[in-house]
Amino acid sequence: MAFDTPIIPGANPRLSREHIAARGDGIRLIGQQCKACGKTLFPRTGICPDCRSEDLQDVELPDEGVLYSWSVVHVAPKPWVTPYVIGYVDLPSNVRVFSHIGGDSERLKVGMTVKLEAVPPAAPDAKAPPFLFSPVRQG
Amino acid sequence: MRKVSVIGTGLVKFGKYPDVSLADIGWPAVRQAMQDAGVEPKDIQALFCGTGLGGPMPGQRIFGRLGMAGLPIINVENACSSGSSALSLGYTAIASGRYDMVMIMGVEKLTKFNGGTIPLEKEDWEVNNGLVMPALYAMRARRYMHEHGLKKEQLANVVVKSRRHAKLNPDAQLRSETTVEEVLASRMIADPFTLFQCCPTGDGAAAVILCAEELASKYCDKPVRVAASHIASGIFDSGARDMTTPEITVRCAQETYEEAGIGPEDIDVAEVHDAFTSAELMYYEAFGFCKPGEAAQLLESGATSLGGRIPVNPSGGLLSKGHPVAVTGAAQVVEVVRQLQGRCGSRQVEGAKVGLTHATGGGISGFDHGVCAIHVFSV
Repeated sequence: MAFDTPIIPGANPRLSREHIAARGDGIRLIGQQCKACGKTLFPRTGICPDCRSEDLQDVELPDEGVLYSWSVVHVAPKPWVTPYVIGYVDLPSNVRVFSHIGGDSERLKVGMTVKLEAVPPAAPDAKAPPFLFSPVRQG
Repeated sequence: MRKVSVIGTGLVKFGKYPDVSLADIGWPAVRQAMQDAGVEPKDIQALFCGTGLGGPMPGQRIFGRLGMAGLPIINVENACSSGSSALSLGYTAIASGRYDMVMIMGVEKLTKFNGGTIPLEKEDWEVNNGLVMPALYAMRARRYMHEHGLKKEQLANVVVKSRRHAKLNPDAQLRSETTVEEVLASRMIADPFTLFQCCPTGDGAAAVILCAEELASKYCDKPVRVAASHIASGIFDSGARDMTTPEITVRCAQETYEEAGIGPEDIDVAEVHDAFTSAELMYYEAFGFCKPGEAAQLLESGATSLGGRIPVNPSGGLLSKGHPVAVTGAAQVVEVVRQLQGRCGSRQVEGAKVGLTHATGGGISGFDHGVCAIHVFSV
């Protein structure tokens, strides 16, 4: 029997690069846009939660957003190595991305502009997400 | 719908019982509740057993120990609201007329995970990318601090109050009083939360016997009416969301007040889901105990302490009792029912007639929380 629900490649893979596209000036996150209602989603889901259309197309998301909040994590299960910083980044077109946050955590501020950066793998099986958002340098 | 009463409660003190099986953690709570209600095994017509992380068929394992299996047993998983979701099912089962008496319970053995943060579902995008529950609440707290000017000392005050109450509760795990300085000096878990601002986990069990109200006086001198039983699920939103107000609790509270025909001013005692310090403050606002942004002032006024206008978490709450996921909701009911029965000794809320319990469960992307369960009890 065919299983005709769209399969999202490696659903929610921590280390998957399926969600990233390389660009000359950096990288972009790949989300989905609903062709029926225009809703933008990240990560891909395969069905629109607003109108339940399955007619979705991949879209590149803007690489700059606003830091909604963050936390420095000091206790986490393996394989995470603490401390690390996580946060929510609001991108234009109403997408909130959960991401690791780079830069000096002492200088992070609610509402500051942050920009997407690729994280090169330290080793083939490195336990780190392939992207993060870091504060945009001022001046 | 028939009216429903609580006629018996049982509790196994939360703690670390690595060498005791889940079944053996659970059955003493069942037996205590039956002794409390003065009922026999044959009187219990169905069991609704909540567990978040206890594995398959906890109800059968526990009732099997007691030679009480054979009746309908439904096991309920709804994260940290598993026990209170079981209560809601039990309530409906009696209110609908299907049964006259049922037991609901929550049971958990978290020591099997060898400490650390509560395990979350690894298929979830955020969890898989490094989200842990303390950090999720910490991000809410930071945003609230940003918007309302809340200071870390004001967060710490929640722990000071919690421990002051827990000192009076033999069933709490953390019973030493503490200070703002001590709270802030404990080790960092997820900035801005230090260790003392995060609830400990634990193993434990709690059981509650529900009965049709017209039959309750046959068994119990002081039956407690279930005035409202309400469950809400969260709303998925992949976009921006206001994390300074717990949407699901605000919505569930309004619906519960409506169902009970009361308002926040009618609540004499409340047990709310203070998994982390900021959560208790946000819930003051969600339940309408104060206006948005004024929670810290409400706490500082003493209104939510024992002796105040609306004592919150007289048991010490999750922060001092601990949080064995599914048990929390059921244990809150044990506390509030005993408060309304006047059985709480030195932590008794004098003259309490109406009480409220509130357990939320979360840890999945795109939701404020996945589930919220609120119950109102009255005498």
